[in-house]
Amino acid sequence: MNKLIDKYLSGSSTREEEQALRRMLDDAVLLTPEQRIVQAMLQAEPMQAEPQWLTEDDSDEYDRLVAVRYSRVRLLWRWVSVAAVVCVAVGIAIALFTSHEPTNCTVACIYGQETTDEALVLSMMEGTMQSVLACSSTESLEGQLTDILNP
Amino acid sequence: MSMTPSEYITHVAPLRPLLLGVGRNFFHSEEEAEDAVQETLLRLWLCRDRLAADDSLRPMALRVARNVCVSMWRKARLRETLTLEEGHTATRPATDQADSRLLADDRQFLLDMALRRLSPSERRLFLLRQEPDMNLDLMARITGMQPRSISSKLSAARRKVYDFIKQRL
Repeated sequence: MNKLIDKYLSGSSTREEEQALRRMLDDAVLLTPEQRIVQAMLQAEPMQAEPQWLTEDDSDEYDRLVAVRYSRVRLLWRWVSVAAVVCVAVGIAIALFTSHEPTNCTVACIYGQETTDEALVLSMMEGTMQSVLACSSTESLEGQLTDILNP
Repeated sequence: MSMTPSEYITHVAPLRPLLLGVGRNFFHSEEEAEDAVQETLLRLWLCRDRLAADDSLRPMALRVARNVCVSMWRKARLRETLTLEEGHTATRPATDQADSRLLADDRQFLLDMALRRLSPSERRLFLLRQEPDMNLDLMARITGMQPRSISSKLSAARRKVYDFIKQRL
């Protein structure tokens, strides 16, 4: 009997085995509490049809609820699309705004290192020009450039 | 007007995809749609003595499917409290010289409570199995589920019911 009970609880019993188990439990004189539980389970009444299952008609309510659900989905997509358009517009505005900002930025290479320090660049330029002037035999700019380009 | 089991399998079971579409259209959830179609097929099975294998079958099946969807939606909106039922426990230990009829009533009451705590699918299969001559193959044809899946859910349902009653006796 206990083997049949195990099969029953594991869902692997056949209908014939369940019927046999039920007979054994009903015929037994003394049952353990666990066996009585299984006996009660086997005695459970099957489902009964309710009279209104074939006569009631909730089709209108079904259509209404489906329509409400679809309208909510459409409304959600509408908000999502509006939010997407706003994000794109803001992104374009930011890009345009930042592109009009003046980007005066002087970059010089001093001993192979890029620098934007204006004071440093001017100082280095002045020093270089002073060196050129010191090496040049003329005071005119043309003469000095000639000396540089045609040493 | 009455439908035999073989007529049900021939004429009603093939409507499953159509009925599943009704559920999908309502719930947008495969699990709930599947639950709805199982309930629909079960109701049609239990009402087979009032069904006929003619042109009226398809619209009737669709109507039952829509009713099931709305019914499931209504139930989902209600809050079921089991606290009152949780408080009901057997006060008479089984080892006493207790009235066996009262114990049987307790077991029956607990069985009803346990069945209500099962998922709709588990409860459906548990009670469907109680029908005379209801074997696994027939259950599979009625519900459209795989026999292995039925066996698994049946086992889960029975163990839940058994454990529930055992803990409270």
